[in-house]
Amino acid sequence: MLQLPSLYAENIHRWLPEMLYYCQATLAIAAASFVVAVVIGIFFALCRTSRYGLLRAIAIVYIEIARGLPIVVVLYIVYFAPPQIFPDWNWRWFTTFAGAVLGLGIHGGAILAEVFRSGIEALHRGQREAALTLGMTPAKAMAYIILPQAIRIVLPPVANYAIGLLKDTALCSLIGANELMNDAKSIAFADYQPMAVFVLAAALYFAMSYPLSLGVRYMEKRMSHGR
Amino acid sequence: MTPARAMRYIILPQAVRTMLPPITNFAIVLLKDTAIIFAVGVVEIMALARQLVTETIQSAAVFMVVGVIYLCMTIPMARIAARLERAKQAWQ
Repeated sequence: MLQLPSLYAENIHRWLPEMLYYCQATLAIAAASFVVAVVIGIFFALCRTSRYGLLRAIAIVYIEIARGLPIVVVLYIVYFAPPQIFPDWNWRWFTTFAGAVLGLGIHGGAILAEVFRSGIEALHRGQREAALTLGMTPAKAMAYIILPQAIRIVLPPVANYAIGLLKDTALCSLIGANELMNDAKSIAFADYQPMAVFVLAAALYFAMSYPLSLGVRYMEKRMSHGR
Repeated sequence: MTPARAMRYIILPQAVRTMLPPITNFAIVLLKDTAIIFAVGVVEIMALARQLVTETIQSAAVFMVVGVIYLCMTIPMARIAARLERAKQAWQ
């Protein structure tokens, strides 16, 4: 512990620029998988609240499976299984980045589908009935009446999910994605300084996630004023 | 009642009913999070699976079996959590 300051004084000029560079990759994975998760989440939330039993059943199966699996297992299945099941296809595009984004997106999609569903169900049915009475089609009622209000309700839990997602990107190092944790591991083992390097990585993760959680707290405060 | 008795006979029995569903949900999350401890060298399902994959190269089959094993543990727990939640709402 005592030699940590001198270790940093000696090595930080090598470690920090490299790790800051990989922070970008971490943020890129988080942002891309957030988009994927939101798209999947909206789709399955709509299926889950659909009139058609088959769509509901598909959504329930997907949500139960994706939420019941550890993220690591999802990542391993998504990244390693498809190229083995379809060996004849071209998998050159399927980089660790794509695997990480898809894996986190599939896992997050199930979480967000449940969040969005609770948002849709929280609205009074009268909202939809009124929209239909005014001559809107069900799709229009969903797009202009239900979703805008539902989004307001689900924004805080979605933002909390985004913070969790940023931290979950560290798991992508296990399938070899080039992000902060993977870089920290390789520096730690190259320089035989695991503690110093991982403490620095922890500080960088904190520096990325803490502003986000402050922002969420601020947003929650502002939104509670509105009602 | 003494404060200790009030806690023991009045507060705790009610508090536990309210706490049980979130505690169960936390237990599910915890169970899933154990899947990453192979990263520090603990031998559990994931560590075994990774070793099997290096031996057999059947990554798709092995990891899907691992997934089914985790589902067999987490889905019943999720059912229990949902039941506790319903019981809590009926009681309140």
